[in-house]
Amino acid sequence: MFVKLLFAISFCFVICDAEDLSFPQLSDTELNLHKKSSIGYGVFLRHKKDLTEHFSNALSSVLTVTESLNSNGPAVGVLNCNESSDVICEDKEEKLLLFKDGEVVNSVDLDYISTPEDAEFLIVTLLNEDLMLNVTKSEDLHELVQTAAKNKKNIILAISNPGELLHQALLNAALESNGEPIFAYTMDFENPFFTADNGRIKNINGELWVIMCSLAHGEKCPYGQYKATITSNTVPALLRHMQQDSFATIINDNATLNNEIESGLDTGKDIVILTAGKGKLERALKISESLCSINFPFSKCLVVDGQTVQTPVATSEGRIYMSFKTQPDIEQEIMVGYLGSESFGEVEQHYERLNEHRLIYERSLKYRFPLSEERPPSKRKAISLTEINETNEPIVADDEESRFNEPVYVQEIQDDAVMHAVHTNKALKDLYLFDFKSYSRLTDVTYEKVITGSDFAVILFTHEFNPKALAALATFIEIHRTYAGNSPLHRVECFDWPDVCQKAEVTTYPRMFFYRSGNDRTPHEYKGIWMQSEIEAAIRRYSLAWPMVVQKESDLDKISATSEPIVCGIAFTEQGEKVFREAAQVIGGDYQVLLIKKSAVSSIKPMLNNRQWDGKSDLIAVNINTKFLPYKKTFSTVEDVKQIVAKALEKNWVELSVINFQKLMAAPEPLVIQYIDKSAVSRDQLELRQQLEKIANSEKFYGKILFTWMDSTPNTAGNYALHMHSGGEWEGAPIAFFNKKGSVNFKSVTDTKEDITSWLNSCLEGKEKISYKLRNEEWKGRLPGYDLLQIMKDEGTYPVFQPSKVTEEEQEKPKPTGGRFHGGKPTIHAAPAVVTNKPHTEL
Amino acid sequence: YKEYCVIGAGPGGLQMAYFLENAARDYIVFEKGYGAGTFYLKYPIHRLLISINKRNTGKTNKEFNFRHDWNSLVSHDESLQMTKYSEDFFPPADTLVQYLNDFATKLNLKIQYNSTIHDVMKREDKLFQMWDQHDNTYTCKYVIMATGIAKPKEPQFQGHEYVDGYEDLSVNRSDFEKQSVLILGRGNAAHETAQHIMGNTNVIHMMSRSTTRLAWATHYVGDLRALNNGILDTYQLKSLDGLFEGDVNELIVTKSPLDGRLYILHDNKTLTSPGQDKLPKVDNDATREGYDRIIRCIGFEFDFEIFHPSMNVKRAGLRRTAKYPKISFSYESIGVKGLYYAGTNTHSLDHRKSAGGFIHGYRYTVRTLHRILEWRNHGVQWPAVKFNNPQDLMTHMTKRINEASDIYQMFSVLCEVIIFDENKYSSTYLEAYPCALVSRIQKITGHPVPGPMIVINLEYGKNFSGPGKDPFKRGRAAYSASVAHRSNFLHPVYYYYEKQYTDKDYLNKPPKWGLPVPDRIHHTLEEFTTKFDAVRTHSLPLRRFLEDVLGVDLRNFFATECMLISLTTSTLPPGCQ
Repeated sequence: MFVKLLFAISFCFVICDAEDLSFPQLSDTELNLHKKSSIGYGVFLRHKKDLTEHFSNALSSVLTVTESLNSNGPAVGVLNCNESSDVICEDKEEKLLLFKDGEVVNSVDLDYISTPEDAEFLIVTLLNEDLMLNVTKSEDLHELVQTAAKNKKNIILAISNPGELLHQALLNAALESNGEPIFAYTMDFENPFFTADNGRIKNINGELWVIMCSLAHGEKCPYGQYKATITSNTVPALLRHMQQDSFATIINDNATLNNEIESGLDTGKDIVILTAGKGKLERALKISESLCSINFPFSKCLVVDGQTVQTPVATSEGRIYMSFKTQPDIEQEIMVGYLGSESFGEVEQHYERLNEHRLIYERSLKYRFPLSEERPPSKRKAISLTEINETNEPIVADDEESRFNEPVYVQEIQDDAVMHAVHTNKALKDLYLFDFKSYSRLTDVTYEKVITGSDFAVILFTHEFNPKALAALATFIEIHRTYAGNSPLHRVECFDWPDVCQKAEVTTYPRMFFYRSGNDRTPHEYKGIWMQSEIEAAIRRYSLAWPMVVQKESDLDKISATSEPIVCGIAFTEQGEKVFREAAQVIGGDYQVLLIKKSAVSSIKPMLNNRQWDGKSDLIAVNINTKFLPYKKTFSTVEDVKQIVAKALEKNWVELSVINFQKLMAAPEPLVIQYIDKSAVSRDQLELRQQLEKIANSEKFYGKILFTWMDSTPNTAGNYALHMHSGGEWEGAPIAFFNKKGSVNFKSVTDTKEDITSWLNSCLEGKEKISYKLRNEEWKGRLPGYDLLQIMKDEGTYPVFQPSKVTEEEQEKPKPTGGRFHGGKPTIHAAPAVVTNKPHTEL
Repeated sequence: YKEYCVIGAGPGGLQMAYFLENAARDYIVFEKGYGAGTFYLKYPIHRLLISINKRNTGKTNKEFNFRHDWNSLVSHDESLQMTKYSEDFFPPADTLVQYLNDFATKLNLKIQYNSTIHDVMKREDKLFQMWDQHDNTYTCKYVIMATGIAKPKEPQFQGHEYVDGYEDLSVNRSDFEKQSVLILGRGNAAHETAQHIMGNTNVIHMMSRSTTRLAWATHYVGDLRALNNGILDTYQLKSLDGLFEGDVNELIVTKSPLDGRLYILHDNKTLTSPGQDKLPKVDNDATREGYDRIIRCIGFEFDFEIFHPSMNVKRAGLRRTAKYPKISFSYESIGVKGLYYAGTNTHSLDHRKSAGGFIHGYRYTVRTLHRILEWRNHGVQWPAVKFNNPQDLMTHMTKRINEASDIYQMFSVLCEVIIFDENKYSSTYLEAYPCALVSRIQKITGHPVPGPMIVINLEYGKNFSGPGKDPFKRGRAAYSASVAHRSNFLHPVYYYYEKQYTDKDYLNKPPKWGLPVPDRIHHTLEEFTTKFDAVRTHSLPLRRFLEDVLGVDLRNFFATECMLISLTTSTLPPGCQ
């Protein structure tokens, strides 16, 4: 609904008769008065004596929305230019002019006012668009943020187009807000400022971001993406929350903590508590601000100073402990435990998983209590953090019903992303555990058949207790489905067939082996990354002959072009063919290999284009996508072949990706990473790229630096890395010198004519200022788990060391007590049982 | 001369022979019978084994299925499984004999039948010498006694000559028609006998030193099994049968000159059987009506007479374990170096605790002995699986506790041992290693112990097993990982030791504790299905425990996460390596 505008001057529509339509006819004096309205005034310019159809329609539409505009809406009048001497009548088109504070703020072609909705929207929007700042480029935003940070004013930024629901809702909010916070919007926003920290923007349009400059640290403001659906109710709530200026409250005493929890829960909020150990208060505050700026108004964040509040957690650990509470009626108490890396992304993951858990929980409650019925009142009061931590016990079930409300223990919350992903994927679990039809699962018998047969086969070894194995199966099955009924892919589940896995000496999972067609059944293990494209390429290589032989020209037609390298051996001599065939056995797993016989050389000779080659010697050339790489050479040994291939494929300028990062990181040389936003490559980036490629291919830094680039398109890993390495600020073409010893030198190249080599040298010499220091992550365990020995001590079941002096013989010897033989009333009975563990006194 | 002389071709001897054969050792098995497993040609006399032969589990995992096959020996030949010999849940004893002979034949074990060995002795040159019934002499470097405990225990109480031994008992039920019978003993043989004849007898009384020990309460398969407990019914449901307690060794049995029946007397001073001139002091003695037959079913013992008197072979104890020879946890005689035991005669080590007295248990302890000998005598290290990171280790741990049969049957005797290197990262995994010898790993296995260790033991709850315990009580099962230490049913327990514990630590471990108190302990929550693979309840707490003791993040990461981590941190978690 539209917000109703106040009218500066009390003005009722004066309905006049004009061709069956009544409008306020304005005199020039009246016009001058209304122009100065601080709220707005609309003037229809009428030039023609007779009303045209579109003028009539426009007037009619405005008339229809009179009700909603009402006395508080913008005033509209008709100026008859045939009678007026005002300057605005110099414009000879019939249109609607919108005035505000004496200025024309917009003019509307009457064709756009074809419906009452159009009329209402245009009038209100155009009169008030200055309330929503239009941010068109990132510099504008930075400037806005800086100003806001200085003035401690918050910003609400919508990525929206005028007219959209979100835009309208915020505009209405802006009308009511009295300038606090600042409202802004952008229609085409690409600033990675918003994407870098978490990398999860997918649908840009329609998003709402809150930038909490009231909590600014210097010129930087905590910010977050507002996730809830925007409604007429949520916007005011959002504003109220922002105005409270408190996404994080620091708690210094137990009483305040309990009060805050109670009041938060009473208002229906989730409570996120971050208990900060020594030296961690500031970090906890930042996490808290970030988290709650995203998740408000549904969450309340409390930062507990572990140094002053009596909580056993975190204080001695120097770490941050996170716990989570939901509304009392849900009675859910979840503790998360110590944060590991304390990166915001990780905390957010925690939060999302907890929410996910809570939603499941809520569903189960709904099942138990139909919505039409009122839920029974809670029998369990919210428990304080202190209580939880002191006992290390969750809330104790106090009735039968609460058995359903089994609290989730912090130690039992899944924080392994892979484990979580595979075990919450029902389809995958079904496929993994129960599907015996859709793909080949080998048994001890069929395994033997496959490995002793002669057909090409791929065998994946998995184990149901290994999440990576489950994840691998997901990829494996996708590839399997690409075969039409005759898939060479098989799987052995090692929990079902441990004997098979033992025979194959498989003790880690997943592992995959290729059995090439033919009599040689040596298994070749797959060593690449578990990505579908990589596995598919490997399967293809192993399925082919090593080498494939091209006898005649027409054989070449059977070989399809591929982006994977094809190593071609052009064999003129018998010795050359022999050597190449041997080499093919060595390199066949890595490259497709083609033996081109003398008889077929003529067909490829023009493509080779090698002046150094006499056309008669044995030659190695590598082909990619039907083109031969420049480097080709004659050979005489297997080692020659390997070296020629390596040299031909040597790339001095490579994309850093999930496929090769391990290899690149393992190399001793530092990396140079150019960040290239592939979705919007700038001229600077292109020029820098050309320069870097040139440097990479020169001898200048050979063996000293590995030159790479990463795609920094928003929502990519490269974007995240760029943000981290740059500190969130760059311009032009960004580039990083990644020193594997622990630091990064970042540079924004704005002048691409600048020779980058001097900067590289400076980085190599360690003279450049470090822009990012690699975190010294120790990767310790994230939670202590259950200390069962301590629990035993607490409950009195810890062993008491009282070694018995009673020997076995003494225990066993019956002691006569008199009496006769009666059932259950023995004359002779054994001594009272004394427990001993020492039948042996030596080992 | 042979390097190894195994005496006895019962299940224990055959199992030992299998391992020696596989390792291509110089060995011979002497068997007094004409074939393998001749003990089972006679026993149990009612010809039904009480070791279960569970052919179906719904699983294809052969190791897991072996958990429920109590009669088979370990071998690589899958045709040699009792589940393939009999469809009966409790198979006939004759089938076992057939099985054992097939085992010997199919696996080409070197057995010399019809050879009754006697006077085993150790010469000054430390070699063993022995003779057969034909006075052929044999010399061996090591002797492995696998003769079982086949000699009936015959206490020499007054009147013992009137008592029928189980070994000679008629299996013809009509022989017991209208008889009142007293059975001495309360083990499975005694109950099996009672079960067999109760349809013919007037009454059956049963006497033993201790109260009835029900296997389901004690979790010891040597105690009374449910299939033989009919007399408990007829006793408690007032059908004239009954049980009472008394020491057999102090028994006096007299035959009444008046009616020719048997009466048991309190002592020599008050002979009160019919025909005697005195009245009994007590007028309500349950035995006062006398018996037509008294049957001795008090078990068997190791036959020490096989040794030459010069041999210093001791009994394991004075009473309960006196029927076994005294041995160390490496199955070597305490007193005679080089003399080892295999099979049921090693049961003194786990008597009334685990399954070392039965095929499904000692098939593994025999393997343990073999492994010990392999390192001790031939320098072959104990088989081990090596792991380069704790993540792979965790999968293997989970796999083992979910499928391994050895540690399952020999719970609290055989443990899994994981030895870590100094940085707690890579590890050596020893499967089914004697829990009692963890303090001597390097000496026993050849594997050094450079860092901390985890010992995994399968355990019942500490107060869950024993005569008189109610294993069916409400609330018997722990329900949450946070109280997993209160688990009662068999479940894995992980003991973490910063340092290898000593012999003394082991010998002085607290009462009811299978291992010394560790630096940190973890229990996996019980599950009567014995499948410990629930992601949140079982796997996650185990990961937390490992993370805690090893000080490492054991989460898995997706490749993209790993790339980001490598670009922002100086080290990678194991999940990215």
